Amino acid sequence: MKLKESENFVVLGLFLGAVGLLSALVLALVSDLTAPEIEKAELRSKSAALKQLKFPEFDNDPTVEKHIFDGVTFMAVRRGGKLVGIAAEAETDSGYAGKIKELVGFKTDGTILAVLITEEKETPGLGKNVCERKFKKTIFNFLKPAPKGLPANEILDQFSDKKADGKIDWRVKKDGGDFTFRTGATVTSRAVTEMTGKAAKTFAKHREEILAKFAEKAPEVTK
Amino acid sequence: MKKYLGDIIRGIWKENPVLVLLLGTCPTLALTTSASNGVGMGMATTFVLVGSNLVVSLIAGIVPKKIRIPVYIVVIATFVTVVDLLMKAYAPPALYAALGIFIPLIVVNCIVLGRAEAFASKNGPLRSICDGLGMGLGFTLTLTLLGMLREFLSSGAVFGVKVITAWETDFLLPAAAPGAFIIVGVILGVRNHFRRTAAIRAGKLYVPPSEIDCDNCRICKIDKED
Repeated sequence: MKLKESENFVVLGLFLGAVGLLSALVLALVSDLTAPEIEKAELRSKSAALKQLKFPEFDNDPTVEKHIFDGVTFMAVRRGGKLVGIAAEAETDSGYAGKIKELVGFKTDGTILAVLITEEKETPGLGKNVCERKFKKTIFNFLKPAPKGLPANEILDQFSDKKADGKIDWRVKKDGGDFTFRTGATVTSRAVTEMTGKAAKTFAKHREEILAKFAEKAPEVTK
Repeated sequence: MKKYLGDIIRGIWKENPVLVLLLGTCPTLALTTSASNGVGMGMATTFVLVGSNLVVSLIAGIVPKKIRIPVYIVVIATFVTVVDLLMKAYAPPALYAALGIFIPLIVVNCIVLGRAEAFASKNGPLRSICDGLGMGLGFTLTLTLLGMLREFLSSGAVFGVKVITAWETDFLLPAAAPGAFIIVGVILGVRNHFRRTAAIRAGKLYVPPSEIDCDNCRICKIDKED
């Protein structure tokens, strides 16, 4: 009762300090317990995304082996140790609502297999439609399992089979480039197109170096 | 037993945090763009409410009056961080991506501090848990309802399932913040109408809360002489 009515600032300060210390202990404990799970969850979502990129079948974990060129992270995709493709992770700050991150799957000759947006905060209904690859559920099919493979997206699909060989203008048509954009979401379309172009051009520019680096023996995976 | 049940029911209907107490409007308006977002945010808030109510009711007896608010905030912030870490580890990535930036905001959600101060600090642990559960459920149900309405009006879908398949293009107003204000307003109006007719039928005079009573509002009369 005495403590409850206390106005002695030393007592008050000590009490608050003790509460803070207790909560810090609880948080340290929880953080320690969840840290491995969080890491696993992040890796899981990344490798799930990598599996969708239309690579030929692969059996390594591409997130282990990576090299960065001009801000684009390249990862080796292998089957039985042999290089079957390159995954690239690029990001841009010129989205309508901040950062957009994407994964691009390349054949070893630089042709794009598929593009997948992994992180964005665009406006629902506008910019989100440019970034989202989602199987459309309706009342007629929501009980059926979603079809396998990568859901279509007309903006992202136009990058497939393209290659940065100097013939393609990696800009949206509004800016004089080769790619269609979504009306009402020009900023997002532009950001995605230019980011993909940058990834493709970086790959074309450093292709020899990247292949040479990945041609060296794959690092032993220690688990 | 009846007392505990009453504590739960009260939060869901009679003192619904969003529709009656009008607390926690920020997450209500910002997050309910889809029904599943509403469920996720509601459940996270419920967990924090129950946890903080329990701890506050246990320590209320020894916390010095002068520093009770900072102590409660530390307790709440601890629970919110725990929820954040747990969601990061176990929740579906899509849900965390949508709610992630709003989870830290539960700390300053007035529902949580409000219940700690108004209820948990004056009642025992069991009743406080029931109160937290009731308030949390009320919050979750309202957010889900709002999310369903907004998702349906903007894209013809409920929980991601398109009900009206002919709607190809999204209608953006209900998905944006202004639409949320309008829909919350309509729900409040409907609720008040029902309470009023019920009160008249029972022969009682219904007095709406002064903040939402038209007689007390000056907006329409602003340029008229008094």
